[in-house]
Amino acid sequence: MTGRLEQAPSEVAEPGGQFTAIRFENVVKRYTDFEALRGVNLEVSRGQLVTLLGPSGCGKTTLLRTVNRLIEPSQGTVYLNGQDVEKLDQVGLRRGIGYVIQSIGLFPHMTVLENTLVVPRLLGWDRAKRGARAREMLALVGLEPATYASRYPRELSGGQAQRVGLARALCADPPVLLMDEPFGAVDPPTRERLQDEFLRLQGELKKTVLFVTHDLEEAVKISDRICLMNIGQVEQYDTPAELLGRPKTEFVRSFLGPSRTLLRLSRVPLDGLVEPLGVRVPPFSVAQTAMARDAFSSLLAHGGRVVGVRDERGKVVGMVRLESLLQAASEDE
Amino acid sequence: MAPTLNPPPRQGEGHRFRWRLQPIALLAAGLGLVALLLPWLEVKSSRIAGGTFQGVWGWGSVWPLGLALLWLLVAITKGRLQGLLLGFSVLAWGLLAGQEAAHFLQGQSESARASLAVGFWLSLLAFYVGFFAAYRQGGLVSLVSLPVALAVLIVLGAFNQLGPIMELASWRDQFVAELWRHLALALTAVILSVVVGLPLGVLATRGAAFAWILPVTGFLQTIPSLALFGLLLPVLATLSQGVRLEVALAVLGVGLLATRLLWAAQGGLALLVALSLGLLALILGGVWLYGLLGPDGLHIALNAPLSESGVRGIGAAPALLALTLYALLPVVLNVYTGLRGVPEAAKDAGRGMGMSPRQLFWRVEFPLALPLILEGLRGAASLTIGITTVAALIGAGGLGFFVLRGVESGANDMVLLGAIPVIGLALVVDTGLRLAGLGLRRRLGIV
Ligand SMILES: Nc1ncnc2c1ncn2[C@@H]1O[C@H](COP(=O)(O)OP(=O)(O)O)[C@@H](O)[C@H]1O
Ligand SMILES: [Mg+2]
Repeated sequence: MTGRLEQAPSEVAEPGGQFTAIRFENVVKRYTDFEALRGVNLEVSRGQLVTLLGPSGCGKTTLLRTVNRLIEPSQGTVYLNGQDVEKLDQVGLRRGIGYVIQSIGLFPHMTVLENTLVVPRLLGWDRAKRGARAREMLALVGLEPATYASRYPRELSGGQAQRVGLARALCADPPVLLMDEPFGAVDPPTRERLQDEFLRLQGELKKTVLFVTHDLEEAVKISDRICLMNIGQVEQYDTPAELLGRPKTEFVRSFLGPSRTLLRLSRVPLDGLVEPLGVRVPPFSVAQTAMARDAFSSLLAHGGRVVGVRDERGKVVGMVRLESLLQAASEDE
Repeated sequence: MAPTLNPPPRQGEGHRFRWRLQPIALLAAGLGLVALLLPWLEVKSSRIAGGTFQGVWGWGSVWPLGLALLWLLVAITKGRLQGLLLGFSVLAWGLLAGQEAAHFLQGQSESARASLAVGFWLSLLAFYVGFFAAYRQGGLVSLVSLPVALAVLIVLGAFNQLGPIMELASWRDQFVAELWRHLALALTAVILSVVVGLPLGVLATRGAAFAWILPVTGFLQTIPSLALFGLLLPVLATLSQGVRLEVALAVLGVGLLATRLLWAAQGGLALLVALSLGLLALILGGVWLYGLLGPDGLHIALNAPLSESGVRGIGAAPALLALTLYALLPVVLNVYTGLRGVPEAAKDAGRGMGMSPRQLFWRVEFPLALPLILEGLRGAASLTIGITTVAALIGAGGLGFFVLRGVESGANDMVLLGAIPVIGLALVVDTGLRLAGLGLRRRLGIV
């Protein structure tokens, strides 16, 4: 079934040479007394991680669920790899899309392993293959199969359950993932760790991900592009840097709020700001791989105008000035 | 009916519960001691005559003292030790009653009877409470002494001189047959109620078109059995005389087709047709299943009125129909509640991962609802075992036969010969299914 989605004939090449994986064309969803989506147009490139961001009730979940047809639009079309999803077999379509929801939805009567291999089982993989694959997936999301495979969901912490949810969504290797506030229900430290690991995974797997969140920081941290929504419409669709740097509407500006400058620094790598060391080595330093925001925080915490930059062995190899950070933050404004 | 079988608390928590549970044991002991002050037997010159009440003291037995001592010990112990002591109390209780019966019947005529009186029954209640207390602290193991003690008493023949057992001696063959009938009637009705109730319960969760199912099954349970029999009798009598078996089968077949065709065009009408057909199928299926299970044999006579195939205005057919309708409510209600209780997130995830509605039902909804469905089965089973007693009213036999005859002739021991096994069966089935449910929950990973 995944094959069918991948060999879709009418792929649409974008100017940048990338292919559009998901395209929403004027999608409207009307309920009896309420219009949840008011004509959404959106394109998601293959291999990109796009977040749907916006206040609660703005239609993020609704939009996400039109992709695997858990919700049928009242108007408009959703294309997956160029094919109108309405013309695809519903069940086959869903088996080819990974799906993770906030409440996780693990099956309480199945072990972790059984939960993980649900889709391969639906697809009719043979027992040995799906078992091996499921174990591989559990290991991939950081759950030792020997320890966790035979546990029941009620024996897991929130973070562990969420990992199983991810392993389950990835198990049949779908090219597209739909994730609805997947890290919404876990405590902040766990959430950050899950985000980091998910980013690392995404770096390897290069799935097309549509990711719903109402958490601005999360969106800025993980997205290739952010689609900021308001009452059923797209307000702005841009890279995090663009969104933070050039809010197009008053709504976007107020949604991003006063911390947007600081947030912006969290997407600026230090590389471009580093200068050679002067005579004096700064007394404190941040890792070379850190973001500008970390350097800024360090300066705020320790005082001073220069922060050192150390390589992976801990040797201070350069420095960043407060002025460069301030300039990076205000660029293009 | 049975005490709630909560799993016993874990080791570490035991001390926390001690002061809270002691009152239950105290209550048991108190009841047991009070019982020793009351008459245990009513000694009569014949099975239907009035008699004199006799207590346990003052005719030379030391057992009352022993039993009193045991009750005191039960009051201050707990858990398995308490269970063991209760087992000994049961032993003493049986031996004492037997000894007392032998004592007072000695020298009397053959027809004299020792009927059971309030002290005897109060002791039973005390055991019930006592074993409940023991179970709460010591788990299932604390209950083992009960069947052991009862078995010992039966082997020793301790009950042989008690009224109901003497009734049993004179009715032995009939008792076996009626017990068999009772079980077969109840089992058939429970099977039918599950076969009918499961789909009805599932339908009840499927939208407004089926919203009538719960109220209707609820209403069925409120109809008095006598009224139901009165309603069924003329209908079934007409059916049994006027319709031949092959006609009935043909109607079923054609009707089924017609319903399928009607369904799209005239949903309401189709539903009505389907219900009437279902009732007919239920009657035939019930009578035949009962024929297979019961002592009276299976009769299928083609080319003859339905009465030759066991469908009559009185007897098994109306009894089974009534019992099945009564048992429907617990089944339907629990299927409905069970399916409604399946977490929305699990259903959403299943759907989103590409389960077809059928796969979603069998792999997610049904297994998750199963513990509650089993609860419904438990309710239906113990209820049905009890109310099968009314089947005797309409000539279907069963243990109600003894109750009815006993009441008619004023022989209380005969009433008890019917009633005691009914209560015992209901308790055993109830407890058995409760434990099965517990095991199922563990296996499904839902505790
Ligand atoms: N079945 C429904 N009937 C009516 N309104 C609905 C229904 N489902 C969702 N809505 C409304 O649609 C809006 C968008 O919902 P949703 O997409 O879940 O928002 P969110 O952005 O928080 O995920 C909400 O205001 C919600 O109340
Ligand atoms: Mg939502």
